[in-house]
Amino acid sequence: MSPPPFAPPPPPVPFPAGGLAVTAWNWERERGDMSTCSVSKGCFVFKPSPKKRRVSPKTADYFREGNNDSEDSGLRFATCQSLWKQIKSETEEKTTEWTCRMKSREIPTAALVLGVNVTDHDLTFKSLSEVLQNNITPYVALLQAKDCPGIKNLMQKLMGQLMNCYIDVDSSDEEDCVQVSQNRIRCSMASLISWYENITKKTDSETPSKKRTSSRHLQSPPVVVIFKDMESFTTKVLQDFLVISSQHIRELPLILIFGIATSPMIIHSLLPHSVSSLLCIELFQSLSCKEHLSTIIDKLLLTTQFAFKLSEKVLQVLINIFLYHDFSVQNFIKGFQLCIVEHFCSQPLSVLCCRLVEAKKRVNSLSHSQCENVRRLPSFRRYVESQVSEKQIALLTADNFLKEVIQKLLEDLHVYHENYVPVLRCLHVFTSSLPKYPLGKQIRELHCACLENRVWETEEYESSLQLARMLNKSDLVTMLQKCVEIFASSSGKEFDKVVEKLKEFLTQFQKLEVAGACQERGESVSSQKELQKKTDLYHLQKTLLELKESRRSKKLTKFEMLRFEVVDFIDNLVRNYLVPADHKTLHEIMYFNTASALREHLNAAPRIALHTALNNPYCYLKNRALKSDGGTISNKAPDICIVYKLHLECGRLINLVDWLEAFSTVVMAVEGPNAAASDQVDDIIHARFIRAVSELELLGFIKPSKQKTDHVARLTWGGC
Amino acid sequence: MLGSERGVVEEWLSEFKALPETQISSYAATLHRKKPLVPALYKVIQDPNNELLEPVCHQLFELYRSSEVRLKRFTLQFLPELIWVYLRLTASRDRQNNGCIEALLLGIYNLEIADKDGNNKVLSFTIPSLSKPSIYHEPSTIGSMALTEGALCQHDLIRVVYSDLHPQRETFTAQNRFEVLSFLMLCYNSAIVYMPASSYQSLCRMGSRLCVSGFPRQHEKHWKEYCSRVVLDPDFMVQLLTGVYYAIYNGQWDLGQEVLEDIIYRAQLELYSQPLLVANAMKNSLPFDAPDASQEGQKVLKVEVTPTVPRISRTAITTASIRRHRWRREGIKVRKDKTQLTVTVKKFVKTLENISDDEAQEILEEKSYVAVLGICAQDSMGNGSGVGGGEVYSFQTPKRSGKMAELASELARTPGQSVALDRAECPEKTVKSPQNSKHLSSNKVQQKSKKNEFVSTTPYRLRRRLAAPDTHLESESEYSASCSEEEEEEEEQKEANTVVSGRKTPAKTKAASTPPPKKTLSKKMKEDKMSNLVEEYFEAHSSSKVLTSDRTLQKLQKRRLSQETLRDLLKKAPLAFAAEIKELNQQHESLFSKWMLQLHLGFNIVLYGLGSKRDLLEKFRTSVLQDSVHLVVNGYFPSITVRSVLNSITEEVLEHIGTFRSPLDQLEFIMKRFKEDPSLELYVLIHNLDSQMLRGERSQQILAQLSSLPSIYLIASIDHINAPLMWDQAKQSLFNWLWYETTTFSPYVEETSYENSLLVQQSGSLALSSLTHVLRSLTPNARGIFRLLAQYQLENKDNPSYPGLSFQDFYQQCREAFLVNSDLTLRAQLTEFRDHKLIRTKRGADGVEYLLIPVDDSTLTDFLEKEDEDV
Repeated sequence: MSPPPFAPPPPPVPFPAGGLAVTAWNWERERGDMSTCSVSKGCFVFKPSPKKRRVSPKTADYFREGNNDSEDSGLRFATCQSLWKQIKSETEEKTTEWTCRMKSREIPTAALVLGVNVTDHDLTFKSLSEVLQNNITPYVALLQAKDCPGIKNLMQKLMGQLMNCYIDVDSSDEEDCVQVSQNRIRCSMASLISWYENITKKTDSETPSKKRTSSRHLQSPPVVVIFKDMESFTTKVLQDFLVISSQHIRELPLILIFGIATSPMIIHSLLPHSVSSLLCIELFQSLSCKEHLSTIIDKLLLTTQFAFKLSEKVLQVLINIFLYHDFSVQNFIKGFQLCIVEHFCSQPLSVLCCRLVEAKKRVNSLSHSQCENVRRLPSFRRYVESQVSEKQIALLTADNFLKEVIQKLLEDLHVYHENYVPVLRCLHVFTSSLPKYPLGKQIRELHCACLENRVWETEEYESSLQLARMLNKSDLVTMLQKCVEIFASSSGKEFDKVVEKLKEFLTQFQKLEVAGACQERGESVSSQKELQKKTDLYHLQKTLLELKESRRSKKLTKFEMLRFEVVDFIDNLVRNYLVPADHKTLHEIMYFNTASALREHLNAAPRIALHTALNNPYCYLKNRALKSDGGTISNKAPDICIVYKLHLECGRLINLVDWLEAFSTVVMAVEGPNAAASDQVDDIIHARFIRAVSELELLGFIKPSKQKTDHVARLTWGGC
Repeated sequence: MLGSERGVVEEWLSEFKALPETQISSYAATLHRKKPLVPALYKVIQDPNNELLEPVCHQLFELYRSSEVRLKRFTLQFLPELIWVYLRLTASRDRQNNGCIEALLLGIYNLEIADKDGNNKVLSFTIPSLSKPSIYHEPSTIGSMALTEGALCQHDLIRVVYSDLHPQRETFTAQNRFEVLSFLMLCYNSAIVYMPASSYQSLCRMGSRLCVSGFPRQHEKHWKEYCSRVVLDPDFMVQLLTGVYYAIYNGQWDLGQEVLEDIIYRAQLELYSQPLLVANAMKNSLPFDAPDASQEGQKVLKVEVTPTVPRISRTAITTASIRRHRWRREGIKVRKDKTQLTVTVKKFVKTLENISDDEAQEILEEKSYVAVLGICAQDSMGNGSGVGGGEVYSFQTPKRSGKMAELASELARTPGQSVALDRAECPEKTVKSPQNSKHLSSNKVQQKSKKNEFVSTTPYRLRRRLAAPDTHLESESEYSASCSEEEEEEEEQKEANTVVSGRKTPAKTKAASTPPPKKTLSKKMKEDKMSNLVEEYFEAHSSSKVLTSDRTLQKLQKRRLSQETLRDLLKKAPLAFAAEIKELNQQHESLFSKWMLQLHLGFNIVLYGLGSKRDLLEKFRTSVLQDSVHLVVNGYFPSITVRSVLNSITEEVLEHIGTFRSPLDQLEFIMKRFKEDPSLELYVLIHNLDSQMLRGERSQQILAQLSSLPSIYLIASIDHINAPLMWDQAKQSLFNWLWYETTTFSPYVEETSYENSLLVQQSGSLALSSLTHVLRSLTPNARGIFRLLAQYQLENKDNPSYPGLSFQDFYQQCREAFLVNSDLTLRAQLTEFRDHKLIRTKRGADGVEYLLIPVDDSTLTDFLEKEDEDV
């Protein structure tokens, strides 16, 4: 349906909105309070009187309002904010670091292949241009396709960014251009060149004091133009720009940077040979977004720096959104931010989610109701049940005793985290090089597995240990060395012994090498060789079976004994330190685990919600009469549901008369015999039908059709 | 104009008319001897008000049409002058006077585009082949023996088309003007060697003037005749340059250099790359001083500059583009696999065991993904997400007619209770939702197996594994990490897959089709389901026949309701489940403070779900936003534009007076202001962000950029089922949405009230009242003019192909009715109507302007009746 033919005229034209409303839309008057209904206006601005206006509505206030218990919320909010700030700076630092790695060189064109996560590119480019500005040239311009529909707009944007001023597009509609004022710069290559000459001359004649700043830049600094999204530029614009600028390359040392999301081939498919031959292209590849994600996860999750943690389900949802939907690291961080907000908003005990020292102090000032909150935590209840009865009573009644215990438990939790990360990394060292990666290749997969349940009870763990028992010596030694490094650099206090033990293993291996060199060369060498050579699982298993047979009869070699010891040692470590977090008492304070909220807000499915509401209104309207089973619907359901249900039975086109009749049959049945087909009732039903149909039209299920009179076309297939 | 010149021209005009057919060739030979004729003709052409212009143009066309080639060239020499005069008059919007020149140019064009037989000409040349001997080389001396003549022949016979097919033109329009003129210049250039010096001068003069008129450089010129800017086309400028190039080396050294400079000047300003390229090349290759003019004859070879053909542009990064890229890569891989297949056949039996393991694991992983994404459904407050995708997105089957009535009676039969339809009774139903009944579809595997033999019995993964167990171990293991990339790839490869399997030897097929029991069954089912759905889709859409009854509303004897009666009636009908709806609303209202928090943290909020969210947002506005600046946008309002949203921000919030060139400029201004002043904060509430008027790409882009400002808080609602399709990745990240399901079940009263719903009688009361309001404010004459148009339209209401009233006729009628005295007053009046959208103009096929009132006939009749009452 096209909108009514009359657009509202601009204000000065006589088109009195009020009068119109009186003549045609009497009903509007009846509800005069609805000030945003009008037939002449679509936008309404409301401004409060100046004195009423709050100077700066504090975000914290809303936070407080959101929580029924105002207690501690301010503190919590502050914690939340500071945590977020820390995290934010952490991530941003990360991005600049990895963009530095792709240093730009002095060549006319650099093609940056950035991958499909277009939304993350902004940050990259921002930091890239900063780097360039600091190190190479002050003249950097960033261009985006959506700003440049034509070559003139492109030049305007370019010059505007370079010269730091607004340049009018030379529009042809002005007749007075003959006497154009001199101060307005025309956007053309010539004026750009003259600007460049001026500016370089100026730097040449600069005073020595200023020289220092410019010395970082070259004698005649190049002008860098960055095309953020090369693929979405109009080819014509791009070609024209290249052709024109190539003619002035001597006067204006130009360097181009193309941001490419797909593949470098795109340059050749966008530009004809005559144009692309003007460029000297060097290709740069940025880090893939997956690597970027794992660094972020490393920095945010696998560290004891932040008290806030994600539970397995939440992390899984975030990673899945990343992998299956957008590859956007930015969105991942956004999800993380939401997690933090939700956690601090919904969990009153999140006051304690901060550094250990701080948390201990805060525990002392906990109020009684907060203590009750602690007692209500399921993990704490479990803890209480495991205690002796006197202690149970003390825990449940004495606040002070409880506080002491809480402090201790928090400390435990902290130690657990400190130990968890290095052991996890160590395990990852072992599992990440096994064939078939039974526990996943990335550390995040391992992390998820460990959070989910006791990892040593899983089959994957079992099989990976099996495989680890078959590692060859050189691999084993390098792994052990890596583990030593990890433990040595970790802050955990309990690892001294572990490091010692590992070192001992290493020396033993070395001894073996010296002593057992001749002995090893015996009969086992052939089977060992075979083991090392075969890399695929099938053959490995087969040979293993054979080996097992032979081994039963044979004595284990020294190396094999040692290897078993090492694996058992690692296994022990895992069992000791990689207990899933939700087995720990008070984990609710640190871990955010309402994955549903996250999913609902980040990855919503509006179509499914509509479908459910229409198909099964009982989900929302908890009324007995609506309860139904299977795919059917009660005939007392809202009109729109009935109309929807009826329209599902139709094909491509729907006859309105049939539809109306069917509808009235259903509705009349509900009204019962007392509404014996009076004209009034009939009209009301008709009106209800009209409303329901137009609502379906608004929702996009049907549209008017001209194929047949009084028919509408369906826009969906099948059950929706 | 001097009398003598006039005499010369008149004599020339009469002479040719009297000329008998036989003497034409001798006449052509003597024509150039008439020295004073050519300057006189130039004078005539330059003066648009000369009464001789029309006969001269006619005469020139006659000459051109004659079979004598010298006469043709005689006409052609005036072409630059004609083009200049034509363009100058067009630019000064003085179209009336150049009718005859226009006709002449079009005539020449239409003659030139076709050859003698009336077929369209394609101008092309062939690059001489190296394989053929020429005076410069012997083919045997180049290359080795392998390069035989035959082989070379195929390679380097390149035909270059420099002028493609041109359609015949009857009028000049802004779109085709330069296409025609460029072609004319091409014709001129191809005959340029025969032109006299005066024509070269005229060419240079034309180029100079076209390029600099209206620009500051005009002041430097010695000629002072004023002219406004002339729009130029790059192709035309390239053609012009070609001619100028010749002229420079053939006597017009100074003039030519000047025009070259002017063209460069213009091309730089307009940023035309092609002319710049050509002109700079010409400039750089110029010798120091003029070539020796004493030497007669041609100095340079004619040069054809062929503009490069612009490539087909593909702008956006789409999945298709990525996919194509990947497909190409994969295609190679598959081929490689195929070759390996033959080698590794022996290993196949051994590897089979492994495969089933892998398969199982993959299935497991797929499931776990679904589970993870689905887990939250149960405990979430919006229980809506518990539905599987298949249920929502399945296809429809053709339905029996009367099915709806059947369901209706079914529903009606047992009032108050829910009815379970007996599924056994209607077998079609089970087909409709294959997701529900897995058993059924697995049964179907057997039935359909004949058709799907290739696809389903040899699962692709199997073969892939079979081909590459030892070489691709690395990639294999990556695969088991189950990235989505791989999933996609797999989809892509299905196509390639069928090709491969089709070529297999029967023995291999047999080996491969021994089904790895159970494990792949679910996979097979998936594929099978897929193909089922596809078939269903095409079944549903193949038959153009529509199986619905032919009843219409008119037969039903039901009067169409007007908007007002509809309102009254609905008011009488009680709102069902008011209590529950209220409860739902209260649930949503409890989220207000959370929304505020999240808005302030940089998120924006979008509401979805069934039912009008208008009241909810209004409540939000009145309860929370009372004390802050906020903007409410009714997206469902039929003439809302993103411009009006921006205007209300600049004018009312920022209190800026002034206009903007484009919404982008305006947006930039707003963003600047908001960034400069951190105390500025604005809440924007948009009801129906997905409405007809706002769902365009550009509007969404602007709104997204607006919403990405940290101090603008956006909260919007969407209703359409496909609304999320409006946003691509970039926009989505700008919007930074948090989704909230707010199903309210309240009726869409406001949203559907703008008289565009079905079934409601198109009363046109809104249109009518606005008509009367606007007209009441006009002068009686203007009203009369509108009446005339309305009456004429009503007289023609039975004519379905009525194009409107042509301007000339309308003017005639208005004059007769003493309403206007000149067409200028009428035009001024029409402009006012047009501004109020009271009339619409369109150009017919013949270029005539037609006027139309875009209101339906009944409303127009009402209007006229009402007018009569008033008078």
